[in-house]
Amino acid sequence: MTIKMRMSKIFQKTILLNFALFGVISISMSLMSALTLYNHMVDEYISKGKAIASSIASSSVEILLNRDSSTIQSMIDQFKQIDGAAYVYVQDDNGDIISHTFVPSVPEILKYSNTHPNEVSVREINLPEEGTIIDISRPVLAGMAGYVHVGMDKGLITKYVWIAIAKLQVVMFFIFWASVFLLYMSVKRISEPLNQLTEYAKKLANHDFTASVEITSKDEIGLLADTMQNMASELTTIIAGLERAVTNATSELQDTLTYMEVIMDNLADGLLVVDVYGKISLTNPALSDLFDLDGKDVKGKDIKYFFTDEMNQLFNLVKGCEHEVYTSEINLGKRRTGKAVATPIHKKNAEDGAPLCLGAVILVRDITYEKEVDNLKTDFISTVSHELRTPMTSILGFAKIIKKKLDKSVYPQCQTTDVKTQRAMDQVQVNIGIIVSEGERLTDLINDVLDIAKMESGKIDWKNIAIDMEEVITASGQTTAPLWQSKNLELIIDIEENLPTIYGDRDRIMQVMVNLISNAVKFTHEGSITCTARARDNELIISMSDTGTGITQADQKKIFERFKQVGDTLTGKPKGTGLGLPICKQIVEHHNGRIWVDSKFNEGSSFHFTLAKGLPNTNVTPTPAPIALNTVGRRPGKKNSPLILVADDDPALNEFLSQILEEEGYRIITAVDGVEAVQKAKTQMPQLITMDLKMPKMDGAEAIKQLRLDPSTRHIPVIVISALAEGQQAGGDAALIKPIDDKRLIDTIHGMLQEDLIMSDPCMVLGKEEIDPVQNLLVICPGKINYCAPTELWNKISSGFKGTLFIPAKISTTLDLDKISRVPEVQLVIIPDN
Amino acid sequence: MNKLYFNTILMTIAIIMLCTPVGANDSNATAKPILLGMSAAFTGPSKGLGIELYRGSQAYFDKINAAGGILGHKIVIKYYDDGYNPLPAIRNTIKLIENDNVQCLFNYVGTPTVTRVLPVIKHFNTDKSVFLFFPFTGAQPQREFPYEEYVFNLRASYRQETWGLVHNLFMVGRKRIAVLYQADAYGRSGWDGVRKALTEKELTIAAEATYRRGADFKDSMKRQVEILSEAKPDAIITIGSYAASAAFIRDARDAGVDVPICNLSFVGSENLLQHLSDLEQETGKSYTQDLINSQTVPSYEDTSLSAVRDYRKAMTENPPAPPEGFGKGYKPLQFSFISFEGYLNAKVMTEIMQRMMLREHFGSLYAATLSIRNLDIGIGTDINFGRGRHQGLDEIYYTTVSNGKFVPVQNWKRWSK
Repeated sequence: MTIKMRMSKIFQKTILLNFALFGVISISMSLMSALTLYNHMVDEYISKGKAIASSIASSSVEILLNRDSSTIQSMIDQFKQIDGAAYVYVQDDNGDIISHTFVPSVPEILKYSNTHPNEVSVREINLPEEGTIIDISRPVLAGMAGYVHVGMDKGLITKYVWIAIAKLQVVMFFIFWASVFLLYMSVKRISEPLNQLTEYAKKLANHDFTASVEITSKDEIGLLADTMQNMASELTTIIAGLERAVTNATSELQDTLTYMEVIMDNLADGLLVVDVYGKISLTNPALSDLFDLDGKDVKGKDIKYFFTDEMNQLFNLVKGCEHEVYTSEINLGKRRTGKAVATPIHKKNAEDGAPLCLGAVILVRDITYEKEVDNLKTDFISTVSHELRTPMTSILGFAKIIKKKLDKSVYPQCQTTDVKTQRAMDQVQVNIGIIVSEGERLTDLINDVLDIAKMESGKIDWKNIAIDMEEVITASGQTTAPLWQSKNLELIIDIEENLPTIYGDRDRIMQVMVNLISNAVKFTHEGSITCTARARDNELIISMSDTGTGITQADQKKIFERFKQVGDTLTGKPKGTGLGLPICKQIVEHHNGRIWVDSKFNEGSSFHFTLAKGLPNTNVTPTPAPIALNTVGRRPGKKNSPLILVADDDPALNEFLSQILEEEGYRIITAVDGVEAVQKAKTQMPQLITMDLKMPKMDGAEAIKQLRLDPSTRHIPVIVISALAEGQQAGGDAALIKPIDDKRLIDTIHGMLQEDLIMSDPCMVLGKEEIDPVQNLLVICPGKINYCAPTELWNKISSGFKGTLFIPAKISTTLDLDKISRVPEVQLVIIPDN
Repeated sequence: MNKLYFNTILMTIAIIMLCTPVGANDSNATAKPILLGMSAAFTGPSKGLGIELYRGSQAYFDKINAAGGILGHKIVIKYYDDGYNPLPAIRNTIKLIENDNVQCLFNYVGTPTVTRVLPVIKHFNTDKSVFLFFPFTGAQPQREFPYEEYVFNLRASYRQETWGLVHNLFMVGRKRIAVLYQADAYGRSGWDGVRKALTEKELTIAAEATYRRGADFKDSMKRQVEILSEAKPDAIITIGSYAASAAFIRDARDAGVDVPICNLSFVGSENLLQHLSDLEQETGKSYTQDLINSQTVPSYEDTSLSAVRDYRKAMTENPPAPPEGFGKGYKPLQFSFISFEGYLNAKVMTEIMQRMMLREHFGSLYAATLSIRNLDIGIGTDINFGRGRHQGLDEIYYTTVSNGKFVPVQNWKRWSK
C-alpha cells in the first residue's frame, strides 16, 4: 500500500510536470501552428483565388464575347467545386452579373458593387449568409470582356485552422498519454528497485540480515543494492562474531553465576542483598532457614515486610553507603541469635568515578551456639570469679586481719631478744606482707579478668553521661599522685582550653587514664610524664608520653593483647596483671575511639587514644543510686550495740564478716541461706542485714523481696554482698562487691545504721541552692548548710572541707562516690529521690 | 501510333461490314448490332428524365429491331447512369467511346452533363468522328462554337423556349418576369434566354433566385419564393428539374403566389404533374393552376399526328421497361413528352442510320445526317439538317394543365394582365 502510494507520488509529480509541460507545449504549438496555418492559408486562398480568377478570365474571353453565359456557368461551376471557393461570378463589361454560383440569390452587396479594377484586386467582404469572404476580382481582357470575381471562404480557413488545432490536440492527447505511460513505466522502473531497496533497508533496520534484494541492474541503484548487500553480509559476519563472543561470555557468566549461586546457596550464613530502595534482590537458602522464609517469594519485595526491625535498622544504616560496615546482633526467633553484618555495595561510576550506591549486602550468621558458648564462658568466668573471690575475701581478709593483729597486738608484745625468734618474727612479718600483697594482686587479676570478660561479652552496663575530660584527667593525676610522687616524677598536664563535653562512661575512661599513668610511672625511672588532650573534629585525642624505657617495635604490637606484658619477666618483672592495656583498648573502642602507641626504645613511649564525642543517651535512666548514708568514723564495740544478720552460704565468709563486724562492736547473727536469713530476720529483728546473692534454697534477691513484703522487716536495711555486678539490682539498700574491703563494709554499715547522725561538722549539699533539699537536713545540720556546684566539689575538698557531704541521688551517678568516700573526714550522704 | 493504326483497321473493317451489300440481310442473325451510347440520369431526383427518354427511344428501336433492324443490324442502346452529374457523364462518355466502341452518342440528358462532355467529344474527334445525337437539353454550348460541329440537336433551344414564353407573357401584359433557375449551366442557359428575351423588349429580370442542382421535392423552396415574391412579378419562369420545380410551385402556391409559373421542356412535365397531383390529392389544394410548360415536341395527346398515333400504339402495345438495373421503385409513365421526344429521337436516328448504310454516304453519319432535308416524321413539321444547321426542329409548343393532363395552350389571353 505504502509502496504504491509512494510510487504514485513520484508518478503524480512527474505526471503533473508532464501535464504542465504538455499544456504549455500544446497551447503554444497550437497557437503557433494556427497562426502560421491561418496566415499561410489566407495567402494560399488568395493565390488560389487569383489562380481561379486568372484561369477563368483567360479561358472565358471568347465565351464572354459570345455572350454564352451557360458555358461560363459550366466553367465556374467547375471552379466553384475547388476547395475554399465560396463563390465565383462573372460580370460583363457593363457590370451585370452574367454567371454566378450563388444560391438562392446574389447577395445585395455584390449585386450593385461595380468596382472594376484594372488588375487583380483582393478585398475582404462580409456576406450575411457566407461570412467573411476574400473577394478576388480580375478583369477579363482588361475589363473589355468583363470581370471575374472569386470569393474565397475565410470562414473555411478558420474552420480548417480549428480542425488543425483539434487534430493537433488529439495527437497531443495521444502523445500525452503515451508519454504518461512511458513515464509511468520509467518511474516504475526507477521506483520499483528503489522500493525494493527501501524494503530491504527496512528489513536490515529490523535486523533481518537474511533478507536479500534482487536488483541486477548496472546503474547506481544496482550499485547501491550491491553495496547494501555487502554491508549486510559484513554486518552479519560481525554480528555472528559478536554473538559468538556474547555466547562465550554468557556461558562464562553462567558458569560464574552457577559458581556464585552454588556458593551462595551453600553458604552457611544467610545472605541478603537489598537494593537502595529496600527491595530484596537476592537471598539464599540459609537466610530462608534463618528467617523462616521458605516458600515465600521475597524477591523484589520490600525488606520491611519480611524482616525484623533490627534488620531494617541495619539496612537503613548502610543504605546511604555513608558507612562502611555495620554489625548487629539480632534475634532470629526460635530463641536463636544471629549476627548480621551489613556492607553497602559500592560501585564507581564508570564515567566520573563518583561512587554509586547499589544497596547493601547483609550476611546473617546464626551465632546461637557461639552465644551460648559465650554465655557459658561468662557464666563460667562469673562462677569462677565468684568462687575465687569468695575464698579470696577470706584469705585476703584473714591475712590482713592477721597482719593487722600481728602488727597491733603480737609484735609489740614480743619484745624478744632471741635472734631466732626475732628472725622468725621478721620472716612471718615479711611473709604475711607477701601474702597480703599477692592476695591483693590476685584480687586485681580476678577483677581485671572479670572486667575484660564482661567487656568482651558485652555484659557491661556502660554508662552514658556527660564527661568533662579536664576534670577526669586532673582527677586521674590526683588519684595516681602517690605513685609518681613516690618516684619523684613530674606529671605535666597540658589540656586544650574549652574541651568539648563528651558522653560516655566516666569511671571507665578514668580507668583508662589511671592505667596509662600507672604504666607510665611503672616504666619511667626519672623524668616526666606528659598528659595532653586536644579536640579534633568529632573526637578528643589524649596522649600520655613518658621518658621511660620505651617499647620495641615488635612489642608494640603485642602490648594490647591479653596477658602480654613487656619486659623480661626474669630480670625485672613489673607489677600488673597484663590486662590493663587490653581493658583500655576495650574501653576506648567502646567509645568509638582508637588506642595506639608511638615509642622508641630507651627514649620513652607515647600512648594515644581518641574518644568520640558521643551523644547523650536520653533513654537510659541512671540506675537509682542505692539509698546510702555512709558514715565514716570508728566506734569501739559496745554492749547493746546493733544486731547485724550476716547471710552467706560460705562459712568462711560468714566467719570473716562476723569477725570484722564483731571487731567493730556489732552483735552478729549468721544465716547460711535465704530462708534462714528471712526467718532469723523475722524472729530476731536485726538492725541490718548483709546478704549474699548466691545462696542455696533461696537466693539473696528473693530473700530481700520476702523481707520487703513483710511489714515487720521492711525497714531493715540490707547490704548486698555479691561477687556479681547484679548486686545493685537485687533490691538491697547498698551493694558491695566481693572481695569485700573490710573498711568499705564497715563504713557502709555505719552509714546504714545512721550512727553519728548528729554531726558537729559542717554540712555541704552538692547542687544548686534552688533545689530544695530534703527538709530533714535542716534537722541534721541546722543553720550550717552550704551549697556547692558539682564541678567545684574537688576544689572544696582539696581546700580542706571537712564535714558531711550530701549528694542528691540524681547527680550521684556523675560523681566518683568511691573516691569521695575515701577522702578522710568527709562523710558522704546520698539523698535518695523522693 | 499502334493504337491509332489498330483503330483505323477496326474502323475500316466496320465500315466494310456496314457497307456489305444487301445480301447480308439473309444472315441478319449474325449481323453486328448498331450500338448507341447513352449516358443519362437513371438515378437521383431527375431519373424520370433519363428513364422516360430511354423508354421512348427503346419503344421505336424495339419496333425497328422487331422488323429486322437496319439491314439486319439491330439497334441497341448502350446506356450508363450519370445521375445528372457531369463527372460520371464524362467517364461514361470515355467508356462508351473507347470500350464499347459505340456508333455514336445518343440521348444524353441534361445541360450540365452535356456541357462538360462536349470537350471530351471534341477531343475524340481529333482521332475519329464521334457525334452526339439529340441530347435532351436546350442549352446553348452545343449549338455554338466550338462544339456545334460534333452535336446534332433535334429539339429547339432553351433560348427559343424562353423567348417564346417571355414573348407570350409580354404579349398578355405580363412584363415583370422573375426567374428561378438551377444554379448550373442549364439554369444559366435558361436564365440567359429569359434575360436576352427581356433585353430585346427593353426589360430586365424582375427578380431571380437559384437553387442547387439535385434538390428534391421534399426540400423547401420558401427562401426562393420569398426572394421572387418580393419583386411582385407578373409571371415566374422556372428553369429547373421536375422535383425542384414542383417543390417551388408548391411553396409558391402555399405562399399565395398565384402568378403563372412557366417551365421549360426539360422539366419533365408528367413527372412534375405527378408530384403536384399527388400533393393535391394529399392536401386537397390546387397546385396545378396557371402552369405553363413549353415543349419542344407536340403534345402526345394530339392524335391527329401520325407520330403520336404510332408512339401511343408502341407505348401501349409494347411499353418498354426501364433500362435494366435501374428504375427500381419508379413507376413508368404511359405517355410523356420526354418519352415522346425519345421516340422521335429514335425515329430520326433510325432514318440517319438507314441513310448511312447507303452507298452514297460511305458509312458516314455526318454525311447521312446532313443529307436529311424536309424529313416528315409525322409531327406536322419537317426536319432539316445541313451544313451549319445542326438543329432539327425550331417549333415550341406551349401546354398547360387541364383535367390532370398537359394540354396545348389554346389561348394566352386567359393569363392577360
